[in-house]
Amino acid sequence: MILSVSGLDVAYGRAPVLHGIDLEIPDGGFVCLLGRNGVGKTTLLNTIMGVLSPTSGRVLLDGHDVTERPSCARVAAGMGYVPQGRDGFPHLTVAENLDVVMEASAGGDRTAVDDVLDRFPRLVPLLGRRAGNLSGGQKQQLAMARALVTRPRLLVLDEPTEGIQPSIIDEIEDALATLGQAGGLAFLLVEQYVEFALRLADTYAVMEAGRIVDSGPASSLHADDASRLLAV
Amino acid sequence: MTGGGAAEQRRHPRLRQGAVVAATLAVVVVLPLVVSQFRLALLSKYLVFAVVAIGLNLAWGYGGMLSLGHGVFFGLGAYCTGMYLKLAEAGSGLPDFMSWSGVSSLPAIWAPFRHAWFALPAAVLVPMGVAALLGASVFRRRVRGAYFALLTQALAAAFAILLVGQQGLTGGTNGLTNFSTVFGLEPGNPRTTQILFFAAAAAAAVAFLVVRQIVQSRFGRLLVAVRDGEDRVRFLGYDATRVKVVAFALSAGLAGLAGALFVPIVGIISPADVGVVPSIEMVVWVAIGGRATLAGPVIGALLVSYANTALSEWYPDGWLYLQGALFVVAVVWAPRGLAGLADRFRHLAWRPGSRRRAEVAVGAASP
Ligand SMILES: Nc1ncnc2c1ncn2[C@@H]1O[C@H](COP(=O)(O)OP(=O)(O)O)[C@@H](O)[C@H]1O
Ligand SMILES: [Mg+2]
Repeated sequence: MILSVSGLDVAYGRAPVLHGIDLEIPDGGFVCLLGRNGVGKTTLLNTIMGVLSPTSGRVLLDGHDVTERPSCARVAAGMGYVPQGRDGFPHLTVAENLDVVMEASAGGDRTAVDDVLDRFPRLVPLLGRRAGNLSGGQKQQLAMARALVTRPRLLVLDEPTEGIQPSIIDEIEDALATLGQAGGLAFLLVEQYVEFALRLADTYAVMEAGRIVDSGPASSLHADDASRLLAV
Repeated sequence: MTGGGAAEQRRHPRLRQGAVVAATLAVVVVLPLVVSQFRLALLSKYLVFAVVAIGLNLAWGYGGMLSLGHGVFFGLGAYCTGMYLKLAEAGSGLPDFMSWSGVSSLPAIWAPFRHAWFALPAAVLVPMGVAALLGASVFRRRVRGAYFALLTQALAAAFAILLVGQQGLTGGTNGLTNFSTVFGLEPGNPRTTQILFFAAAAAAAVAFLVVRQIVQSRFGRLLVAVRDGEDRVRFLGYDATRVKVVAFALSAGLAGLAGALFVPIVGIISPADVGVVPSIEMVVWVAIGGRATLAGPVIGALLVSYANTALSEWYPDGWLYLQGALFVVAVVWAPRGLAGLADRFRHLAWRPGSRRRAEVAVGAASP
């Protein structure tokens, strides 16, 4: 298992948000996490990434307990995170947004940046542009590219299609599918766009009010049922 | 990253740089010959303030760490130098104010400041060390933004109170003053004023070049990235805390250097020069000159200090209000200060529509 979460309880101050979350992702697996707004998906990802500390429970990466490790150590150990909101470093250029990763991480190197640009060719003509001046879709692609420069073995994505035009969503789907086929990379994808998520994932999990209430093989869940499950 | 003017700079970068350096050198050499000793001493003080502003801009402008307590670092540098000057004057005896406050033997903390080789490096290293300790404990707990600003302000207040309270150790409200010798030079002598002016100009030049080098380096880009998205830098596997601590300590070091020069130039350091009000003034210099620009803080410190002197001469109380008003205007209407306005004006006046091109050019120019 690349990621193994067990018995995770998380609270904001004294307000509990997550209750006893268990989640496993095998090496190279693709898990999508579905759920309505406000059920705690982002909170779970932030806890997995070390932004928040759980009140109880464990987060294991490759079997090693990282519950107490800071975000930067988790990334160095093979996790990549594309947070909700796709903000980058708006005052740096696209090229600098990627170079900063090389400068920052031990794993990043020039060929990593080149590989990533092969996956997101749309970014190449934009390299000199300030990231703050990109469109939403371009920013999302840049955010994914930035996370990939560290060559993660687990990529965690929080609603990458939120508010993005359909043609770019298709490109993002292609990029994720290609990355998955290349092997060696596992995914944890939070999505509200159910069809998109189920086309990519091999396993799904559904969250409700801070608990995982349903999970199984993605092929066993029909998008219609899922949408009904998630309907307000 | 300075946005405007980049297109021109790219066309004749060497030429422009050469011209700026030559003009600056000419001004520095000619000024002592044409202005009175009194004015030259004032100019030296403004240059010292420019050093503070350059350093504060590294922390605030590029690193997003708004410090309302840089007076502390300035003060630490100044008191280190002041202690040395007092001891040099006292010879084998005690500094004058100690005798008046009934201190009978030299406090242990003063002893090493007998030596210039200790006192002068300490003027830079002590503020750096204090800033690093503060930064390491505070940034790790993700204290930032307004909380950090308030914390540093409280620190400035506490520092001033401590200095006032420890009369026998610090000279209390009066501070350290009445130096009868300044590194072997005679205070008040025109030659001394000139030497100190050159020292201040050299310090400002060094500070400017060091910060420019830092900002254009990989570390500088990382610092801007931390400013714009601290957590996102962590998600790239990097310890954002370390970047902030280093930048904050460097910034404090420059404030300490400025403090060390301030004492011989102005002839006094007292709690009134290091508390909350002076700390806020330092922020005003950067805000009005233009934060996250290289030249802005220098211009801001020089112009605002000059305006302060000029106005205070005929309407002392007005200055505080005017300064407050200028600050608000700068923050609300010109977030990039005078440097930003100058850029915009240049584009409006001569090169309509070139703003966009200039920005692209900045990007293309970087690797
Ligand atoms: N920083 C915060 N402080 C307090 N409560 C929060 C915070 N962030 C989110 N919450 C609350 O936690 C719950 C889960 O939020 P979140 O994890 O963002 O949900 P999702 O990502 O599934 O939309 C919501 O009720 C939200 O209001
Ligand atoms: Mg969310």
